[in-house]
Amino acid sequence: MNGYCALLGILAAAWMAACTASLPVSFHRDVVPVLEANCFTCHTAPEGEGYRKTGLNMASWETLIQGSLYGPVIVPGDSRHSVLNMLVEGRADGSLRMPHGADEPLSDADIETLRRWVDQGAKNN
Amino acid sequence: MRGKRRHGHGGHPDRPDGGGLSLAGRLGALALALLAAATPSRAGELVDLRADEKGGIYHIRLEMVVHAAPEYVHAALTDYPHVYRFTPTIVESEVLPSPDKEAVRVRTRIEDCMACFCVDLVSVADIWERPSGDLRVVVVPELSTFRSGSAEWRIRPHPGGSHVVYEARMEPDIFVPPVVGPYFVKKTLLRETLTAFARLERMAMVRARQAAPDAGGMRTSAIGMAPPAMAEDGRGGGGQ
Repeated sequence: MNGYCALLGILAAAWMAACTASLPVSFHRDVVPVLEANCFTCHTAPEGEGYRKTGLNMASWETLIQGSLYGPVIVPGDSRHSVLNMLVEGRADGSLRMPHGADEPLSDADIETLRRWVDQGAKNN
Repeated sequence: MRGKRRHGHGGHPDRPDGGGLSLAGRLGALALALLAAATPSRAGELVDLRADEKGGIYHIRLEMVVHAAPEYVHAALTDYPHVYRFTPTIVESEVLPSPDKEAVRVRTRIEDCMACFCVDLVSVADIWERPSGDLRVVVVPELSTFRSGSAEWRIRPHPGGSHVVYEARMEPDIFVPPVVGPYFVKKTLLRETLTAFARLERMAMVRARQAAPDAGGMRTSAIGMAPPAMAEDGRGGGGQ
């Protein structure tokens, strides 16, 4: 009986994980709050320090997709090769992990939200 | 020097990989043409680009004129924490402590697929700066998926900017399918080198602009402070 319950539990968890992974991520509902809480202070024009240094303005979907002075930071459909995801996940040099300074790294849930949004095409939805 | 030609982004070589009329050569030329179509007209000048493979060892040579002063090109090249800006295929990068006090150790991981052939390469390389400002790169094989590898960057003043030469020798320690594998690797190398060329110029120009925001002239006018619409290859690679 215990084995049966454990199997059911595993199946339920797998089913929930699959459902979560396939849920569409909304830019305005899911992504903006993450950016607002962690990125807007530095990455909004015209005064944000991050904006002044790199040209990356996260104030809107359009400016975010436009990218920085060095090019796009998002590859729609490919979070693995997106700079935004690389930097918040700490895959670039540790000194560059976003957000900078004393701010805590993004939570796993926020990182996953950004990853899924980009993998789903980084839509303005 | 074999087959050296001079051309801007508006033209393309007929032997970008030394392959004559081979499929690889034609595709390399196509890659150049695509880059030409996607790159602003004020971009630098590609003088020579070739890739060759023999016995699993790849050689690549790039010669270019960049519309930015040597100090800015050098600064862009030695911004090691931002090495991922050079190519969109880098998925991990970091600066590591080097056992040689004179060197900087940089680790990069590249993932790329072409058709059904994918590569996942890790490179840990020590980089030395010569008194001239040239850079010498040597791969650390025991920490890399390369049996060996080395590269040189030479930067010289040039009217209106810098003359830059990049030469590399790479021996990847991965399974490369026979016949088509080397072709794909070569094609990827050419594409990545072209991308790095365009991005190096962009990075150098941004630095020039930031160093002298009020300056005009060719060095700083080719790129505005407004973010570009899309990168030359449509993939990520700018950012912070």
